Amino acid sequence: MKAGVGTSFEEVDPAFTSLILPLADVIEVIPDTLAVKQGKHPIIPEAALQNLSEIAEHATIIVHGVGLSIGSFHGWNENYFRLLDQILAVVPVAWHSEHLGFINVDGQFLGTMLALPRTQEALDLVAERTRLIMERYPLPFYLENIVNLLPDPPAEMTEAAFLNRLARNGGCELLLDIYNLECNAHNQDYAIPDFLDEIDLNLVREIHVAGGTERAGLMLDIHSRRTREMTRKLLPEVLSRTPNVEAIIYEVMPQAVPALGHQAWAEELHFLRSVVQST
Amino acid sequence: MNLETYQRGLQRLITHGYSTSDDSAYLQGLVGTSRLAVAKEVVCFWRAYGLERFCILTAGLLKSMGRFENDIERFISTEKFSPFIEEAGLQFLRFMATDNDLTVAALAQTEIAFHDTRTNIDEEKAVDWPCNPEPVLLAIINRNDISPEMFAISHYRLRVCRALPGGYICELAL
Repeated sequence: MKAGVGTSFEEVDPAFTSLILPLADVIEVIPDTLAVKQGKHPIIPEAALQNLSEIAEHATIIVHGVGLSIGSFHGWNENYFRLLDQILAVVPVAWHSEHLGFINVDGQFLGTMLALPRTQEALDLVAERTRLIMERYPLPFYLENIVNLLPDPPAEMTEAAFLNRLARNGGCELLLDIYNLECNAHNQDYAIPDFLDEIDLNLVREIHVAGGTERAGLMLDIHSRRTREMTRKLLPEVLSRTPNVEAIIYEVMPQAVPALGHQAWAEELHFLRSVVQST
Repeated sequence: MNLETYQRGLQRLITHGYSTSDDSAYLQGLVGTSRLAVAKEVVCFWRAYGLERFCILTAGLLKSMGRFENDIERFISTEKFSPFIEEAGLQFLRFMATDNDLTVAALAQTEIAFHDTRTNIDEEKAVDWPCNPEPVLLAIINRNDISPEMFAISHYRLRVCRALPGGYICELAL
């Protein structure tokens, strides 16, 4: 099975429809960025849902949340499910995914996503919630490795072991973000080959690539650039070792598109296609 | 350090930059580090991006005064900000509406009035200004420099209503 090629979608943009969408098999929808707050809960406006319906005529829709906060000790954010329900009501969704981290503490939005400590307590919490999500929705659910800018907190297992156990105990599979992996290898000073040797690559169903920036010697998970050379070298290697990958997504935030340009965005998708075809 | 103390400690560090003596050595070790500073910068970056687009006038004035980033940081430390920009934008404007700089406060109140009256053509709001609002608003909209002369003390009342030509009118207050 050849993996599909895709990209993220956050804002309506005529150039996206004409230049990017025709190159994509899969479109990753981020519900939180489509939503607006009306009253007590956020909703996705009718116009955005209509856009999704139109996109779904050309590509497979997958949902990628940022707001669930699956690792918050006090509880997850129910709004994610409200938004997912809205999308499921209008378009077929092949699978959904979230980040393995937390953005809320005691219900208060942190403004950034932070990594969980790799402890048994955190593992048990997220695995239990993952099982509940999979009971609630008859859809595959994947969890993504995230970037940690802060020093690693005291851990009971490696990042790869944590992901492996989470998938085994929670019943989910994995979304491997290669750029995040590069960021963490740089920021936390570990070796990517060791990570790839330890993680169960059979569990990886989706791959993300992106390009970002550096600040104070730290690599940031801000999807503002084209993929860098190292990412482009790593992708074929990872893809050749992940037999169950269904999609490779190039992520870019809409704020970066004016500077990046749609042509460069399209070239990234052509690159992904070439990797898929040659792997 | 369990998950609860870890997350509450990180929240305190990200939002306020300090730890307590009860915090673990890990959390206490983050105080003042460049990594914590970068994590806080990332929070400010995302907030600033959204607020620049929602609070165009107030953000424009604060940037021209060179204090926007600092105000974002102060706003974040209030812990009262939503992930949704429609809500966070109004929260930021309400925060700035009580600023010690009366022009900044008046502009934030004016921007709140623009948002409040957007969907109701008959609603009218009035904001008292400590200077003539017209040149300040025009400079921000046209992205021109804001000169100190624009803040010359005088008392104006700015009425905001969708039914008014241009959406507002400035009147010299008696």
